[in-house]
Amino acid sequence: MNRVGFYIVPLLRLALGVIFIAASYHKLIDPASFAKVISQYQILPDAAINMVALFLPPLEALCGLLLLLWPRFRASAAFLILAMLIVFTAAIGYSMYRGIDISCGCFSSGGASMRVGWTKIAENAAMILAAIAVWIQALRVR
Amino acid sequence: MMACSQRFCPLHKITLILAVAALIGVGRNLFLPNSIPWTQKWSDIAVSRALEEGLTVFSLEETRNAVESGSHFLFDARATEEYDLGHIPTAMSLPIKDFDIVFDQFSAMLTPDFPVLVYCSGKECDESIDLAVRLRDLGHTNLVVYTGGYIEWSAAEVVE
Repeated sequence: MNRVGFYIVPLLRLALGVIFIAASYHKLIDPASFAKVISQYQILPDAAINMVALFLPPLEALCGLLLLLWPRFRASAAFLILAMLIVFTAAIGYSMYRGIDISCGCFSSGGASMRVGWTKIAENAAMILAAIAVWIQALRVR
Repeated sequence: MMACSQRFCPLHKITLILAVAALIGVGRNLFLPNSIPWTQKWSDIAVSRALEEGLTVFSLEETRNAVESGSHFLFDARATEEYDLGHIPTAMSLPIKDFDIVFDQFSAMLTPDFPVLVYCSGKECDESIDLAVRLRDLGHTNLVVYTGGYIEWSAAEVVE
């Protein structure tokens, strides 16, 4: 395995794991605010919003933890993180396309949270690339 | 497997992770503080909560009249950053999260029966309702909510 695989990808894995755990924190302790953010995206039907607000934060935290701590689950966690990132990015892109100016709700759910926009899309694109690298490496070494 | 081979996305592990996350989500909502209803009506939350709280709801037209005639004191319940980007003319910024700090400067100007109109971003926000409830708790009796909020107001301005 080359140097990139040895040094860079584990760092990316560490970063992704920490980011996902950090991102889940506020949503876990305050699901009502997160549900409100989801509703403002105006994508999901009313009946699904609270369920998703309860389900997504533990999924983010769990995938982040597994990515960091449990090699046997690394590939699956990386795959789920990749899938989440793609869905989140699509949701942000769709909101921008429709001209809905909302807070992204990515790390916090308050009014000071980052707005959806190209910066957020770029951040997510970088994380998607990192997730792909981590996933591919996890598939090789397991 | 067809699209998702066992090697690239081992379904049993993924299913396990999803199931554990769902369990944590359910458990979190059952046993920890800040739980939420399993389902909730989100669209038109402003109107439904206003009715629940027994508050009067103003339409766009009524709000326009109130602004033009100066009959009401207007409060914008959104965050200050959002207020700074645009707000209804004559409205004062009173973000619900800073209520205790900010309201002091207005309390001297307002008698309890002076008409007050509150709004937030639109039909899917309820900061305006929370604000109206806080004001009511302080003894204000003449409260109305413009549930269309700044989204409806600014859209109507663009059309004209």
